[in-house]
Amino acid sequence: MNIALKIGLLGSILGTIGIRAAAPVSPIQFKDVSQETGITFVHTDGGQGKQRYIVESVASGIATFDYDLDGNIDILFLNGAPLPGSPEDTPSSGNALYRNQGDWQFADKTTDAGLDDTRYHLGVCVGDYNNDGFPDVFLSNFGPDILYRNNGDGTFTDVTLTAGVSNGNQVGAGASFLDIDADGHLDLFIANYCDFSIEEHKPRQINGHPAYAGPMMYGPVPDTLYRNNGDGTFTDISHKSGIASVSGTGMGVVSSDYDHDGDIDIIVGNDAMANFVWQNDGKGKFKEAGLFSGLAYDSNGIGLGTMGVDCGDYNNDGRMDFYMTSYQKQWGILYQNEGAGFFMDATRITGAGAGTYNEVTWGLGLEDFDNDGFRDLYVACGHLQDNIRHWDDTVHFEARNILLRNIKGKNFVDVSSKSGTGMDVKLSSRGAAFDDLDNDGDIDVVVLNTREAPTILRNDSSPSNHWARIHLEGTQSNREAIGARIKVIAGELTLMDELRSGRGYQSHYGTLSHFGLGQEKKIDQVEIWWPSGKKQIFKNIPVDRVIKFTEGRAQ
Amino acid sequence: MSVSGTSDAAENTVSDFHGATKNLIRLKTITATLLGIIFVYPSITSLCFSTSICLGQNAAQPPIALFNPETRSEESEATQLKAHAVAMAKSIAAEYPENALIHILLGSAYFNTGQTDMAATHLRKCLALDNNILEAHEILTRIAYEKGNPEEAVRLCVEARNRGLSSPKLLNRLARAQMDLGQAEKSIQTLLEAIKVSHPLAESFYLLGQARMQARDYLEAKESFIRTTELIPDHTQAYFGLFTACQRLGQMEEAMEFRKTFVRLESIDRKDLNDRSSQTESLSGIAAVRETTARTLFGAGQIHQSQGAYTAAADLFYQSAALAKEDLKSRAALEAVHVQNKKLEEGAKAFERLVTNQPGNALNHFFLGRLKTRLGNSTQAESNYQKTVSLAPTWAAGHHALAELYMLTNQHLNQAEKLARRAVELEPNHVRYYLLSAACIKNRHLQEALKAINQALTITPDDAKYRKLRDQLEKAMAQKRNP
Repeated sequence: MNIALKIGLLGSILGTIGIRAAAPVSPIQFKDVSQETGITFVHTDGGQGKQRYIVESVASGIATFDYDLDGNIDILFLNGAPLPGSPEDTPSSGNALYRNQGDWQFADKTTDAGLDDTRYHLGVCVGDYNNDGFPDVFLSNFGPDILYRNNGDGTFTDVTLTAGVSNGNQVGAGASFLDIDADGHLDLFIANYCDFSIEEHKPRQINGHPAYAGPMMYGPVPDTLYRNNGDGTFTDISHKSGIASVSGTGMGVVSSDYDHDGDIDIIVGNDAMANFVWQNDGKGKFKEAGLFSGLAYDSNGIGLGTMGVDCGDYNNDGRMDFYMTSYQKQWGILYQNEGAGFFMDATRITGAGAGTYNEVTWGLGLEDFDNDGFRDLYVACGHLQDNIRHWDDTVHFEARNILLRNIKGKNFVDVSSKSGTGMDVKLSSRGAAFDDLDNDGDIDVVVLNTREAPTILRNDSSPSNHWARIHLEGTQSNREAIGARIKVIAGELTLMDELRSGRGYQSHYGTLSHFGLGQEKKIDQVEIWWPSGKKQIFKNIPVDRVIKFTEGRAQ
Repeated sequence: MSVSGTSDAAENTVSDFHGATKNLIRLKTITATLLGIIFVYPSITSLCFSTSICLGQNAAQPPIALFNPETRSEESEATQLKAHAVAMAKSIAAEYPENALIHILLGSAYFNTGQTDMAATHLRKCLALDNNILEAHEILTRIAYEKGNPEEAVRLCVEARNRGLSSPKLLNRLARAQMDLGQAEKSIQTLLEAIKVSHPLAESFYLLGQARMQARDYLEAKESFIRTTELIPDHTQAYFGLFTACQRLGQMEEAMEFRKTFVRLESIDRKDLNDRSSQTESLSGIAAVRETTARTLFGAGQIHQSQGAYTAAADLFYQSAALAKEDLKSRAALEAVHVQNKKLEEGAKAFERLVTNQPGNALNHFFLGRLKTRLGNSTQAESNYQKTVSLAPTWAAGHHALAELYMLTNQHLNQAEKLARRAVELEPNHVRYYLLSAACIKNRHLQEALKAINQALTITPDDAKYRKLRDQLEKAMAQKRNP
């Protein structure tokens, strides 16, 4: 019996007899190392003027990616900006790019990199839109959006106007680079939140207390899709592609081949209405299939206040499942893929909603934190009404985040209180990102907390399990192979993942695909379906390392 | 205990007056689900009181300007209203700490103001005094559920059921919590128990459909959803259930039909929700605060009334009516408490104050008219009823009352018949038909009178009063034909 299993068993026994042990009892352990990292970023929602503009309540996302290709995952924190009504002496704020220098030390490179823009930022996605080998950054803003081209020397250039992706003057939300027609060039999808402007601001009260309005008070808006022309410019094809045929209140976005038909679809979490599932015909035309797929509503047919969206194969059945976070008095929902493009709300039968019902939930990650071969769930929490205590004492603006451990793909168990001091942090979280920040083979966590400093959690789980991280390079496909599907067979385990840009709550993470392998000491086979349509199979792969595969080449 | 002294006519007004907002009931449920609104009040009317101590003297008094919203901001009004509701309940609880029912009132007041910890404390106190009060169990269960603790909700429900306390509502709550815990089979058993009662709730069938979906018994789930729509034809979520059940069963044609209905109903719900959120009062939420405060005051008034504390009860019913502008129950109670205590003049004065403060409120004119009638002031009563009809022209009870007054005073009998006919048009129930029949008799329109009373008997065939009138009419008409 391995150590992790022993600890898990002990936890189960203690749990059943109601003893709260002081010692760690969850195989997953997180330590809060925020203070040790040198990160001094503090988020602002721009609400110093106390006007309670809707955008304040939903900001902001976060990105983890290796911008300088030094092998370490860096962090880009998005920030709000002072909104009208703020005192004149309110200092300007901006995003913060922290370069990972190794050994949990991060250096602020925002200005050096040219990312010191001070507009109001909400969502982010990262992708190599020009296939030059360096990850570029798209920022979805309140106001015109920004595309930064990575110059390959640690700096970025704002190419928004040249590229033609400013997306008007909207309230942006989640965004995703994806190759809609498999032409090898990354296109760009942007979810738009609602028809809000400062001039249209509507003060609202709940039970007589000032409160943030919901998106329906402003009305839904269509989302935006840009086609990459392959020459550094994009064309708005929102109408032509069908994307603009309906209006929504987009928040989190994830691109995934949900129906396993070989092309990339787009799943948009809408706030206070049905979610969208944009089914791709493979040629860049989309049809909305939310209701038919089962992803639009919860099991009651209620369109929830969806915030974040991520996907992963939680039960290792080879099908991509989805998890969506939502508003208070709503469960975070696990949609189990039943095949043929149908999903079932499996929240109740799996326990995947544990702890979420009375929280507003935002960022999320379906990641295998203990490398046991089954994807766990991390959910960022915090109410959006900062004065909620005045009318509801069951919930708080600042809340502990939730960690659910996946038990062999059958069900989830809430291990939040047993998983180390990192889970004791109580702030109002929004975006969250999940990557291996110290290259030790397990997934660490970065959380953006509104109005506060971020939380950096080091994964200190037992290293007894094996792992592999897969790095794909497209040649015919887009350079980062975004949209590729990877199948890993290792002994008893058959795991699946896709590479994607933009996910969770208006965030980006996981440029490399991470697989926990339990006690399997080698990978028997890796199958890759490249976005170009090619399939490659590689055999006998070693574990506990990053493995790079290049499209069309032998291992 | 019940609010006595309300006539058939007044009782008949309830569904009628709220008829205009009837279609909002479903919507309110949906809104509450979506927004997580806390909204509960125990039906104290179903409980009985044994103590006979007078409660009236130390009742908490409202701030002077409490009921004049124009003088304050909505935030401060909300704060004061909530504080007042709790203070009122506390003052009663302080006088009767050993009365279990009073702790329900206080618990509810705390719950309605978002103070669930305090609410739970008092509800537990209630159960410590008397563990057989179902409503305390129900609210405690609801608190546990709202806090996202289905395990605790199940425990509380089972505890209540083991004590022999059960209701379809409690069983539904238990079933829902069991479902949330992934216990589909247990949930199905609970719901089968819930629908055994003589008038099962549509919600029980809906939840049964849900539980069966969870158990992947799609055929049975479909049947449960169909049963739901038989009870509530526009149950949006049941159509979603039907769509998904048929989809799973491979019955795609049916699935698409149910899908269409779901989409249609959902868009209506959505539009209604959006319309409601564009209304200022809805937007501010102050309406909800006023309503919950009014409910607490009404409950406190009922407790005072049960103790014979007429003045305190009347004060509280008045305050409740002043806050809840469309609430008929508090006004009926305000009228009843004065009638029971033979304080008709004071009652009329109370309604005159309400009329002054809410001149456009038909209900106030209506009840003032009723009291003026009892006082023998038919001229004033006529004026009040006329005002009622002009303010609420589609409300049958106003037409009915004015017709009744004309017949009582033997004036304007033609007009009385017209009014009675209009009341029937607006609300064709047996009471209205009976009045119409009586009005026709007054005008010697015997054929019309017979027709009307036959209509009443179609609705309630066993009513002795109506049968007697029909027999008399038939006899009179026979005599007329064969003198």
